[in-house]
Amino acid sequence: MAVTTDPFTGADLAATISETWTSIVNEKTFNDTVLANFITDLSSFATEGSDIFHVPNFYTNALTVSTQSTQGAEITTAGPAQVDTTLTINVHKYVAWIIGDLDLQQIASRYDVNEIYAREAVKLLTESLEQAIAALWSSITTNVIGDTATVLSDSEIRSALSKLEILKYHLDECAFFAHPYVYWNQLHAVVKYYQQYSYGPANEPGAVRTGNFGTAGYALNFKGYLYGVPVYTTSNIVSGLQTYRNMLLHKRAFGFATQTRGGNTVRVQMENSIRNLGMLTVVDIIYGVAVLREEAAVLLNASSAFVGS
Amino acid sequence: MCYNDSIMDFGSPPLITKKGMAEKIEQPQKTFFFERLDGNIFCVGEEAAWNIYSGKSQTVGWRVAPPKLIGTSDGKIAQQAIIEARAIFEKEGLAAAQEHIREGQRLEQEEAIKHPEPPRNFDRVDNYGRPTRMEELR
Repeated sequence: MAVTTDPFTGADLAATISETWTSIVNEKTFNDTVLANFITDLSSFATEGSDIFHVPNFYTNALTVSTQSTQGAEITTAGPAQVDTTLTINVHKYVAWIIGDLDLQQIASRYDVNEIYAREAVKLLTESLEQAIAALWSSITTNVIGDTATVLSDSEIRSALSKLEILKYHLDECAFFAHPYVYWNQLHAVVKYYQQYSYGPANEPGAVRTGNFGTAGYALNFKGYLYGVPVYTTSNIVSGLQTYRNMLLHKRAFGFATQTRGGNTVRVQMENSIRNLGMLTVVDIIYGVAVLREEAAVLLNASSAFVGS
Repeated sequence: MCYNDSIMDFGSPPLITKKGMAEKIEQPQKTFFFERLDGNIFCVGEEAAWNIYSGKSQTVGWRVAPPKLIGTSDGKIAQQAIIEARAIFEKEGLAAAQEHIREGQRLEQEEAIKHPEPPRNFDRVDNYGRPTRMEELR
């Protein structure tokens, strides 16, 4: 019986094999906003104008207690000088693009390209605010812990907490912000953080099962608690000379304010630009970031050259 | 004391955290060294350096002088020290490797101070996040 000798190949059928553009698109990934959601937000003071926002400092020079050693003697009054701390809104960033009418008409209707790019632009600008806040690490001088050639250790975590408590800050108003590298490769190597007998209630799943210091999920890069203080991760934590600049922050340590026209943190504007025969989209943000209470922050250096195991 | 025996891991490693060198070493990046008014020196990447240099990164206080740019380097000396530290880690242990890295960072700073160079302007960037100058676009 004769066998088939000339079956169709893909090349033979190329004229009829179709291609499909799926409704799925792979969008750029971003960090969740964690720093701006935590630190002091002065934006509500910026809605009616002004460029500089004053947050008077009453603590550097505080009142003092005197003893009335001689009854009836004249008292000594105190007049400590206040310190003027300011935040200036001085950054205006934007993302802009234009798609010509011809291209816009021919892009497959299932793709709302402008919406996808607008979403990306909003996140880019939000991340730029986060990066500006993370960059404030360089102002931290009072509380600096950790070596640029060592991993972040449990003793350094506890040391950071003790520093803020010694300075009389409430730890329930503080949070850790760590780079994901440090969180996964260094903090998760601390044995007591994942051993059942040391991390907490016996009926709660531990860090190995949840990937988290506690039972919380990964929402908003929240990674549970260390010694009762929330831990957040963000790759916006600054790296320089192979060292990550993680931080323990009291919410008053840093401040920011946005003053974007329209009242939202980020503004998206689109217009049909007749002059260019295309659709112009501009996304922008106006903000300022500043250190408000320098000693209310702890810098936690961690080398990226080492992993705990 | 109440332990959940079903979750306890009796076969766990000893309660000493071993430290090892990371498999991947970060690429060297251009690094800018600044000196604060109190004499402390710190280093940052180029975009952060631009924010400090241009006064956008605000420190505490009213009209406090921003940190002064004192040096610029390519980050290669510190990276080379980490590469060398791997062999030192194997032969001489963690402490020697760490000291070698610190020495590399010190040498990087010494080299940087010889040629301070301002960061590029990151207020305007191209599609790849690289700083651009208007005149170059024309």
